[in-house]
Amino acid sequence: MKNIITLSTFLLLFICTFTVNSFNVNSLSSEDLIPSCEEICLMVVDSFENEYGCLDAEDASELYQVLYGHYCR
Amino acid sequence: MKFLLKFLFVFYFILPNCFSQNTLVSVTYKLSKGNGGKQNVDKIDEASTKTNEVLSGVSKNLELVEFIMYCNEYSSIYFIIDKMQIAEDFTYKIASRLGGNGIYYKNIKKKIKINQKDALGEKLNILYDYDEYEWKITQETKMISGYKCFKAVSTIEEYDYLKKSKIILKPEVWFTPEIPVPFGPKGFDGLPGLILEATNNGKTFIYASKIQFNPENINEILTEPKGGNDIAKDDYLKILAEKINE
Repeated sequence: MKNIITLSTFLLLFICTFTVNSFNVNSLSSEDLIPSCEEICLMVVDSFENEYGCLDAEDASELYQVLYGHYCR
Repeated sequence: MKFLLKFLFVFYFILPNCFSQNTLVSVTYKLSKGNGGKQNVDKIDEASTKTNEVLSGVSKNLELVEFIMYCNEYSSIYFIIDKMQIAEDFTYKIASRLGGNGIYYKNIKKKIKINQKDALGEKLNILYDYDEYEWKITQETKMISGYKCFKAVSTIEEYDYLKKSKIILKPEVWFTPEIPVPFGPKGFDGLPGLILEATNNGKTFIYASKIQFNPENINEILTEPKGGNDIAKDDYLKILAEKINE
Protein backbone atom coordinates (compact mmCIF):
# COMPACT_ATOMS: atom_id res chain seq x y z
CA MET A 1 0.00 0.00 0.00
CA LYS A 2 2.81 2.37 1.02
CA ASN A 3 4.59 1.66 -2.24
CA ILE A 4 1.47 2.46 -4.24
CA ILE A 5 1.03 5.80 -2.44
CA THR A 6 4.71 6.67 -2.92
CA LEU A 7 4.55 5.76 -6.59
CA SER A 8 1.34 7.76 -7.09
CA THR A 9 2.84 10.79 -5.35
CA PHE A 10 5.97 10.51 -7.47
CA LEU A 11 3.92 10.23 -10.66
CA LEU A 12 1.77 13.21 -9.65
CA LEU A 13 4.84 15.32 -8.91
CA PHE A 14 6.40 14.29 -12.22
CA ILE A 15 3.27 15.25 -14.17
CA CYS A 16 3.01 18.62 -12.34
CA THR A 17 6.67 19.42 -12.95
CA PHE A 18 6.41 18.46 -16.61
CA THR A 19 3.28 20.60 -17.07
CA VAL A 20 4.80 23.66 -15.36
CA ASN A 21 8.01 23.34 -17.40
CA SER A 22 6.06 23.03 -20.61
CA PHE A 23 4.07 26.13 -19.71
CA ASN A 24 7.24 28.13 -18.95
CA VAL A 25 8.87 27.07 -22.17
CA ASN A 26 5.79 28.13 -24.12
CA SER A 27 5.50 31.47 -22.30
CA LEU A 28 9.12 32.29 -23.08
CA SER A 29 8.95 31.39 -26.72
CA SER A 30 10.66 33.81 -29.07
CA GLU A 31 7.33 34.82 -30.65
CA ASP A 32 6.03 36.11 -27.33
CA LEU A 33 9.19 38.13 -26.67
CA ILE A 34 8.80 40.13 -29.88
CA PRO A 35 6.46 43.09 -29.25
CA SER A 36 3.51 43.51 -31.55
CA CYS A 37 3.37 46.39 -34.01
CA GLU A 38 0.86 48.17 -31.74
CA GLU A 39 3.23 47.82 -28.77
CA ILE A 40 6.10 49.16 -30.87
CA CYS A 41 4.00 52.21 -31.79
CA LEU A 42 3.28 52.80 -28.08
CA MET A 43 7.03 52.56 -27.36
CA VAL A 44 7.74 55.13 -30.09
CA VAL A 45 5.11 57.47 -28.59
CA ASP A 46 6.80 57.06 -25.18
CA SER A 47 10.23 57.85 -26.63
CA PHE A 48 8.79 60.80 -28.53
CA GLU A 49 7.28 62.20 -25.35
CA ASN A 50 10.55 61.69 -23.53
CA GLU A 51 12.31 63.72 -26.22
CA TYR A 52 9.70 66.39 -26.98
CA GLY A 53 7.73 66.53 -23.75
CA CYS A 54 4.42 65.13 -22.60
CA LEU A 55 1.71 65.41 -25.24
CA ASP A 56 -1.90 66.15 -24.44
CA ALA A 57 -4.39 63.31 -24.81
CA GLU A 58 -5.45 64.40 -28.29
CA ASP A 59 -1.92 64.77 -29.67
CA ALA A 60 -0.76 61.47 -28.14
CA SER A 61 -3.68 59.52 -29.63
CA GLU A 62 -3.25 61.16 -33.03
CA LEU A 63 0.49 60.48 -33.03
CA TYR A 64 -0.22 56.82 -32.26
CA GLN A 65 -2.71 56.74 -35.17
CA VAL A 66 -0.11 58.22 -37.55
CA LEU A 67 2.53 55.71 -36.44
CA TYR A 68 0.09 52.82 -36.64
CA GLY A 69 -0.98 53.89 -40.13
CA HIS A 70 2.64 54.12 -41.27
CA TYR A 71 4.12 51.01 -39.65
CA CYS A 72 1.29 48.57 -39.07
CA ARG A 73 -1.03 48.82 -42.08
CA MET B 1 -8.59 127.75 -35.68
CA LYS B 2 -6.26 125.94 -38.09
CA PHE B 3 -4.67 124.14 -35.16
CA LEU B 4 -8.09 123.08 -33.88
CA LEU B 5 -9.05 121.72 -37.31
CA LYS B 6 -5.75 119.81 -37.51
CA PHE B 7 -6.34 118.38 -34.05
CA LEU B 8 -9.88 117.29 -34.96
CA PHE B 9 -8.61 115.71 -38.19
CA VAL B 10 -5.98 113.73 -36.32
CA PHE B 11 -8.40 112.77 -33.56
CA TYR B 12 -11.23 111.58 -35.81
CA PHE B 13 -9.42 110.09 -38.78
CA ILE B 14 -5.83 109.20 -38.10
CA LEU B 15 -5.88 107.86 -34.54
CA PRO B 16 -8.76 105.40 -35.03
CA ASN B 17 -7.06 104.08 -38.18
CA CYS B 18 -3.81 103.59 -36.30
CA PHE B 19 -5.66 101.58 -33.66
CA SER B 20 -7.47 99.35 -36.13
CA GLN B 21 -4.22 98.82 -38.07
CA ASN B 22 -2.56 97.54 -34.92
CA THR B 23 -5.25 94.94 -34.37
CA LEU B 24 -4.94 93.38 -37.81
CA VAL B 25 -1.98 91.11 -37.37
CA SER B 26 -0.33 88.08 -38.90
CA VAL B 27 2.23 86.16 -36.88
CA THR B 28 4.55 83.47 -38.17
CA TYR B 29 5.39 80.83 -35.58
CA LYS B 30 8.21 78.30 -35.56
CA LEU B 31 9.08 75.34 -33.32
CA SER B 32 12.07 74.76 -31.07
CA LYS B 33 13.08 72.12 -28.60
CA GLY B 34 14.58 72.61 -25.16
CA ASN B 35 17.45 70.55 -23.79
CA GLY B 36 17.38 67.21 -22.04
CA GLY B 37 15.61 63.91 -22.39
CA LYS B 38 17.90 62.46 -25.02
CA GLN B 39 16.87 58.89 -25.70
CA ASN B 40 19.32 56.02 -25.49
CA VAL B 41 18.31 54.04 -28.55
CA ASP B 42 21.53 52.19 -29.37
CA LYS B 43 19.85 48.79 -29.23
CA ILE B 44 19.18 47.08 -32.54
CA ASP B 45 15.63 45.84 -32.38
CA GLU B 46 12.53 46.79 -34.30
CA ALA B 47 11.21 49.27 -31.71
CA SER B 48 14.56 51.05 -31.43
CA THR B 49 14.96 51.23 -35.20
CA LYS B 50 11.55 52.82 -35.59
CA THR B 51 12.16 55.16 -32.62
CA ASN B 52 15.46 56.27 -34.17
CA GLU B 53 13.79 56.82 -37.53
CA VAL B 54 11.04 58.96 -35.98
CA LEU B 55 13.22 60.97 -33.58
CA SER B 56 16.00 61.75 -36.05
CA GLY B 57 13.47 62.62 -38.79
CA VAL B 58 11.48 64.91 -36.50
CA SER B 59 14.66 66.59 -35.25
CA LYS B 60 15.72 67.25 -38.86
CA ASN B 61 12.32 68.63 -39.87
CA LEU B 62 11.48 70.62 -36.74
CA GLU B 63 13.07 73.87 -37.92
CA LEU B 64 11.35 73.64 -41.32
CA VAL B 65 7.85 73.68 -39.84
CA GLU B 66 6.13 77.08 -39.86
CA PHE B 67 2.65 78.15 -38.86
CA ILE B 68 0.83 81.41 -39.42
CA MET B 69 -1.91 83.10 -37.42
CA TYR B 70 -4.10 85.89 -38.72
CA CYS B 71 -6.18 87.82 -36.24
CA ASN B 72 -8.12 90.96 -35.52
CA GLU B 73 -9.53 92.04 -32.18
CA TYR B 74 -12.30 89.41 -32.13
CA SER B 75 -11.25 86.41 -34.24
CA SER B 76 -8.18 84.39 -35.17
CA ILE B 77 -7.21 81.62 -37.56
CA TYR B 78 -4.03 79.52 -37.25
CA PHE B 79 -2.69 76.88 -39.63
CA ILE B 80 0.51 75.38 -41.02
CA ILE B 81 2.29 77.12 -43.92
CA ASP B 82 2.06 74.65 -46.76
CA LYS B 83 5.42 73.33 -47.95
CA MET B 84 4.59 71.12 -50.88
CA GLN B 85 8.08 69.73 -51.35
CA ILE B 86 8.26 68.11 -47.91
CA ALA B 87 4.61 67.93 -46.84
CA GLU B 88 4.36 64.20 -47.59
CA ASP B 89 7.46 63.28 -45.58
CA PHE B 90 6.31 61.04 -42.74
CA THR B 91 8.54 62.58 -40.07
CA TYR B 92 7.73 66.13 -41.26
CA LYS B 93 4.07 65.33 -40.64
CA ILE B 94 4.90 64.20 -37.10
CA ALA B 95 7.12 67.23 -36.45
CA SER B 96 4.38 69.58 -37.65
CA ARG B 97 1.93 68.13 -35.12
CA LEU B 98 4.00 69.66 -32.34
CA GLY B 99 2.69 73.01 -33.58
CA GLY B 100 -0.85 71.84 -34.22
CA ASN B 101 -2.93 69.78 -36.60
CA GLY B 102 -5.38 71.41 -39.01
CA ILE B 103 -7.00 74.84 -38.73
CA TYR B 104 -7.62 76.51 -35.38
CA TYR B 105 -10.34 79.16 -35.42
CA LYS B 106 -11.70 81.25 -32.57
CA ASN B 107 -14.39 83.91 -32.68
CA ILE B 108 -15.17 85.96 -29.58
CA LYS B 109 -18.42 87.38 -30.95
CA LYS B 110 -19.77 83.92 -31.80
CA LYS B 111 -18.12 82.38 -28.72
CA ILE B 112 -16.69 79.45 -30.69
CA LYS B 113 -13.34 77.71 -30.68
CA ILE B 114 -12.83 74.95 -33.23
CA ASN B 115 -10.07 72.86 -34.72
CA GLN B 116 -10.90 71.64 -38.21
CA LYS B 117 -8.87 68.64 -39.34
CA ASP B 118 -8.95 65.48 -41.40
CA ALA B 119 -9.39 62.70 -38.88
CA LEU B 120 -11.14 59.33 -38.64
CA GLY B 121 -11.52 59.34 -42.41
CA GLU B 122 -13.47 62.60 -42.66
CA LYS B 123 -13.25 66.35 -42.14
CA LEU B 124 -14.12 67.12 -38.52
CA ASN B 125 -14.66 70.31 -36.56
CA ILE B 126 -13.45 69.54 -33.05
CA LEU B 127 -15.34 71.85 -30.68
CA TYR B 128 -13.20 73.03 -27.77
CA ASP B 129 -14.30 74.72 -24.56
CA TYR B 130 -14.50 78.41 -25.41
CA ASP B 131 -12.57 79.28 -22.23
CA GLU B 132 -10.19 76.35 -22.35
CA TYR B 133 -7.48 77.80 -20.14
CA GLU B 134 -7.61 79.38 -16.69
CA TRP B 135 -4.49 81.52 -16.78
CA LYS B 136 -2.54 82.87 -13.86
CA ILE B 137 -0.57 85.93 -14.97
CA THR B 138 2.79 86.20 -13.22
CA GLN B 139 5.09 89.19 -12.63
CA GLU B 140 7.85 87.60 -14.75
CA THR B 141 8.64 89.56 -17.90
CA LYS B 142 10.99 89.28 -20.86
CA MET B 143 11.43 91.00 -24.20
CA ILE B 144 10.45 89.06 -27.32
CA SER B 145 10.92 90.71 -30.74
CA GLY B 146 11.01 94.11 -29.05
CA TYR B 147 7.77 93.60 -27.10
CA LYS B 148 7.55 93.39 -23.32
CA CYS B 149 5.95 90.02 -22.55
CA PHE B 150 4.41 88.66 -19.36
CA LYS B 151 4.46 85.01 -18.39
CA ALA B 152 1.15 83.23 -17.75
CA VAL B 153 0.71 79.66 -16.53
CA SER B 154 -2.17 77.23 -16.39
CA THR B 155 -2.92 73.63 -15.45
CA ILE B 156 -4.83 71.16 -17.58
CA GLU B 157 -6.00 67.82 -16.23
CA GLU B 158 -7.41 65.29 -18.65
CA TYR B 159 -7.85 61.58 -19.16
CA ASP B 160 -5.42 60.10 -21.67
CA TYR B 161 -7.16 57.18 -23.35
CA LEU B 162 -3.90 55.97 -24.88
CA LYS B 163 -2.09 55.70 -21.55
CA LYS B 164 -5.32 54.84 -19.72
CA SER B 165 -4.53 57.32 -16.97
CA LYS B 166 -5.08 60.92 -15.98
CA ILE B 167 -2.39 63.37 -17.15
CA ILE B 168 -1.58 66.85 -15.92
CA LEU B 169 -0.09 69.43 -18.25
CA LYS B 170 1.25 72.83 -17.24
CA PRO B 171 1.05 75.15 -20.25
CA GLU B 172 3.21 78.25 -20.06
CA VAL B 173 2.94 81.23 -22.40
CA TRP B 174 4.45 84.68 -22.88
CA PHE B 175 2.05 87.37 -24.09
CA THR B 176 2.35 91.06 -24.82
CA PRO B 177 -0.36 93.59 -23.88
CA GLU B 178 1.30 95.93 -26.41
CA ILE B 179 -0.57 94.00 -29.13
CA PRO B 180 -4.03 93.78 -27.54
CA VAL B 181 -5.50 90.70 -29.22
CA PRO B 182 -6.40 87.69 -27.03
CA PHE B 183 -5.01 85.00 -29.35
CA GLY B 184 -2.02 82.76 -29.82
CA PRO B 185 -0.77 79.62 -31.56
CA LYS B 186 -2.36 76.14 -31.43
CA GLY B 187 -5.40 77.25 -29.45
CA PHE B 188 -3.44 78.96 -26.68
CA ASP B 189 -5.54 82.06 -26.04
CA GLY B 190 -7.64 84.04 -23.60
CA LEU B 191 -5.05 86.54 -22.38
CA PRO B 192 -5.03 90.35 -22.65
CA GLY B 193 -2.41 90.35 -25.41
CA LEU B 194 -0.90 88.41 -28.28
CA ILE B 195 0.93 85.22 -27.28
CA LEU B 196 4.45 85.23 -28.72
CA GLU B 197 5.76 82.05 -27.11
CA ALA B 198 4.00 78.95 -25.81
CA THR B 199 4.77 75.49 -24.47
CA ASN B 200 2.58 72.71 -23.18
CA ASN B 201 5.31 70.81 -21.41
CA GLY B 202 8.48 72.93 -21.08
CA LYS B 203 10.31 70.92 -23.74
CA THR B 204 8.87 71.98 -27.09
CA PHE B 205 8.23 75.66 -27.77
CA ILE B 206 6.15 77.50 -30.35
CA TYR B 207 7.61 80.97 -30.84
CA ALA B 208 6.80 84.00 -32.98
CA SER B 209 9.44 84.54 -35.67
CA LYS B 210 7.71 87.38 -37.58
CA ILE B 211 4.95 89.83 -36.77
CA GLN B 212 3.26 91.82 -39.53
CA PHE B 213 0.58 94.47 -39.17
CA ASN B 214 -2.13 94.93 -41.77
CA PRO B 215 -1.23 91.90 -43.90
CA GLU B 216 -2.81 91.66 -47.35
CA ASN B 217 -6.11 89.83 -47.82
CA ILE B 218 -6.56 89.30 -44.09
CA ASN B 219 -10.34 89.72 -44.27
CA GLU B 220 -10.62 86.93 -46.85
CA ILE B 221 -8.40 84.60 -44.83
CA LEU B 222 -9.93 85.35 -41.44
CA THR B 223 -13.19 83.47 -41.94
CA GLU B 224 -14.71 80.47 -40.22
CA PRO B 225 -13.57 77.18 -41.84
CA LYS B 226 -16.31 75.75 -44.02
CA GLY B 227 -17.73 72.22 -44.08
CA GLY B 228 -16.88 69.34 -41.78
CA ASN B 229 -18.91 67.57 -39.12
CA ASP B 230 -19.01 69.04 -35.61
CA ILE B 231 -17.89 66.88 -32.69
CA ALA B 232 -17.12 67.76 -29.07
CA LYS B 233 -13.48 67.24 -28.07
CA ASP B 234 -14.32 64.60 -25.44
CA ASP B 235 -16.40 62.59 -27.90
CA TYR B 236 -13.58 62.81 -30.45
CA LEU B 237 -11.07 61.49 -27.88
CA LYS B 238 -13.40 58.60 -26.99
CA ILE B 239 -13.79 57.61 -30.66
CA LEU B 240 -10.01 57.81 -31.13
CA ALA B 241 -9.61 55.53 -28.10
CA GLU B 242 -12.10 53.03 -29.53
CA LYS B 243 -10.16 52.98 -32.80
CA ILE B 244 -6.92 52.38 -30.93
CA ASN B 245 -8.39 49.52 -28.92
CA GLU B 246 -10.04 47.82 -31.93
